Amino acid sequence: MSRLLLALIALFLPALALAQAVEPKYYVFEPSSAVSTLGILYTLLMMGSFLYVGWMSKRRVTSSDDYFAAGRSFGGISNGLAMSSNYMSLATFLGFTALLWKMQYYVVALVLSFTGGFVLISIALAPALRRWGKYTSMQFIGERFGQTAKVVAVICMIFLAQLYLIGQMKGVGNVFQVMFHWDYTTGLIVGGLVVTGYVTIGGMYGLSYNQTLQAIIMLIALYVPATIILLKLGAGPASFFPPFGYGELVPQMNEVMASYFNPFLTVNGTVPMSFKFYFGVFFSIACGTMGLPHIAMRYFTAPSIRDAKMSTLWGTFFIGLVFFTTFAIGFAAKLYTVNELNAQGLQIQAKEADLLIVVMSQALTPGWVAALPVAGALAAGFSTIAGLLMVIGTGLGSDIYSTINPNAADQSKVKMGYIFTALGGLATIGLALNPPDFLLTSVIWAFVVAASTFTPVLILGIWWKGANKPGAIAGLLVGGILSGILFFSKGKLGGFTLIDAGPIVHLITGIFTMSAAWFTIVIVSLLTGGEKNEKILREIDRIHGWQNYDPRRYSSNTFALVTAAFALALMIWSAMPDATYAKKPEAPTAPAATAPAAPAADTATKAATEATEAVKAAADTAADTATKAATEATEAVKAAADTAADTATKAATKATEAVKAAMDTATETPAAEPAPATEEPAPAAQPASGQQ
Amino acid sequence: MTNDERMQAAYKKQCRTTLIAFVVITLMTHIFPMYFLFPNLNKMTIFGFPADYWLTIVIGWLVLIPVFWIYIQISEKVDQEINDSSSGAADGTSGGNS
Repeated sequence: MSRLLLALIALFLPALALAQAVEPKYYVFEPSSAVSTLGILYTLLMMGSFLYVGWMSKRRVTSSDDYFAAGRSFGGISNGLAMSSNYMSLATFLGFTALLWKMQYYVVALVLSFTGGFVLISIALAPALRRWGKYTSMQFIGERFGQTAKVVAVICMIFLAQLYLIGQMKGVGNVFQVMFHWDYTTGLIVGGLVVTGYVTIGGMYGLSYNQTLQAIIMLIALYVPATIILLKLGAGPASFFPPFGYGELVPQMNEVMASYFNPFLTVNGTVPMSFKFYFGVFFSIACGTMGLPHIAMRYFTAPSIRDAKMSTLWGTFFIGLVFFTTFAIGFAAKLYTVNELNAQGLQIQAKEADLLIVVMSQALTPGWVAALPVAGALAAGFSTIAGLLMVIGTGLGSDIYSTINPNAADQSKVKMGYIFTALGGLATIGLALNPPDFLLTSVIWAFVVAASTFTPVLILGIWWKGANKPGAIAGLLVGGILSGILFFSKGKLGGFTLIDAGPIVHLITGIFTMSAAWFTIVIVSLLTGGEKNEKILREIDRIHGWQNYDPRRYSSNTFALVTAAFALALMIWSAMPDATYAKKPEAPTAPAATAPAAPAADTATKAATEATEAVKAAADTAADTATKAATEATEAVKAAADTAADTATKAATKATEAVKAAMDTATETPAAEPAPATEEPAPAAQPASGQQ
Repeated sequence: MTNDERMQAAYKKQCRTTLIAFVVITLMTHIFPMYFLFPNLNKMTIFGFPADYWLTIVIGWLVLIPVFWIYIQISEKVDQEINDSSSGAADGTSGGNS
């Protein structure tokens, strides 16, 4: 019998092993009671504070200037903090880790492009927009290019804002769901109503004070856990400055993920980076940032041009501090996953990877620290949602309402601001109840649309007097429609491949669509005779700081034509196939830091191919061995069963014969001896091969 | 130097400063394409980090801040020159579109 059991075990072991290989165990995050309780406490305190600040700010709102531009009284560090929290979204806390693991070095490029775009606004756009003296980029477009252009710009803005907002709202709902086990809808509605409430009540004042507070919360919520986590992982004293606090752990990372620091590979180290990809980053991300209306809005709150620039300086510092601390978190999370979770046989899925800052905080820091990232993530989500809601409220309440009713009283505009901000918030909550599937890429798309609509119109509108209404409208439409179509069709236009965009579609698309919009504005403006309205031409001189008017300034058609020719060349270049994408996926094995790029890539490719083949061969051998063992075990069991059956039959026959003989004897002799039931016991199953 | 020449000089300075600052900041925050031109740059390590990674972040963030501060000072001076030269000046009359 024991032999039979052994044979059965032998039969099922390989099958069990195979089943385990196919379905690995996944790590499932469950917040501890301390994290959950303190997280709820922090969140409630935070939301109460935001509502209180919003309510208190209401007292300061006496005019549309107060409601839409915080009385133009926010400068220096406070505006810098508000700018940074406005810019950094919920994804900075949650979602960044998975993105960093997947895109690797490419995320550094994206983040620096964000930072660059943020500074470029204050060089090329913000001073002039601030001097224009309005509240939004759409208002500038309206006064510079006419009401039709403003309406098109407001439509683009609402579209952009919603692309951004739905993802943020969904993120807020998810945080409540995962961390506090609230129903997604309940979390979404509670979070959404709080943020809509304090922005609507407090206007730009409430938004600005709250964004300053949120930036401080975000900094603490990220910096403190990151420092403790790095210390626990053995990064040493450098841990106290997390952005550069993990240098000592780099060799470990090169062992577990060799492509992590390689600038020539992305998408889990499988897609080679091309020069065009990096070029696309500038056009899509930096230029997109320049065009985002809710980013530009913060410049309108500064008391002076200098204050706006100094706010940018501070904002750049804080943005870098938060972003590069998240890099440290993403880095530490990879080592933690490999050393702790994978070591326990647990695999990590994308959903849990997004939460790794909380997972590590829970495992490595005290409870009061571990709950901080939850508060930080919600603060980040709220700050971005609030900024976008404010731009919707201003765009509709001030820009569109004043177009419909040019003689509207100031208080009416403020009322409209309240109404449209609240409606924008409610509409976004409604949309986020059933969010679309493309959320992960929608934010990047928002950048591409901004780069293809607002950025060229704003730059040319400020720096070239020749840009006119038909040019601006045509440029907005071409940029907006093209980027929309190409996003959905992944570079195709009516079945025809317009752009061979490669695996990261949107960024290459951005080169094409922004260049197309730029080219259109210049050519259409020149063909329609340029701007003739002297009032507008005088305004252009004024927004550059001039007290008098000179038609020679900012009027070089030659310069505009050169840029248009450059834009045309970029359109053609971006549409051409990139040979890099034709390459087979690569996986490096050599550390990026110690090898020259091209040889390293070649070596890595070879090594990766060999490694893949070796793994495949090993897998095949293992599968063959397992199958063989299973077959042999089956045959052994069958043989044993057959033998046992034969023996039993023989024994039964003999027993029958013995009984018959005994009966015969009994018939002849009254005191007969009983016959044995069987002569010998049936042997157990024959041992399977190798299992004796 | 006549006032018109002063204004022209200030105008050129404004355009030049903006253009140079735009290009410099763009390059500082987008130095990664340089690794295609100079792939040997990522041979070494700095403070334990691969040089390309460290340089990208330091130049794009920490070096960017003082460079931007210098731009702010220069642009303030240019704005002052524009204001001084144009305050009370008569409108220019020559045609544009050069």
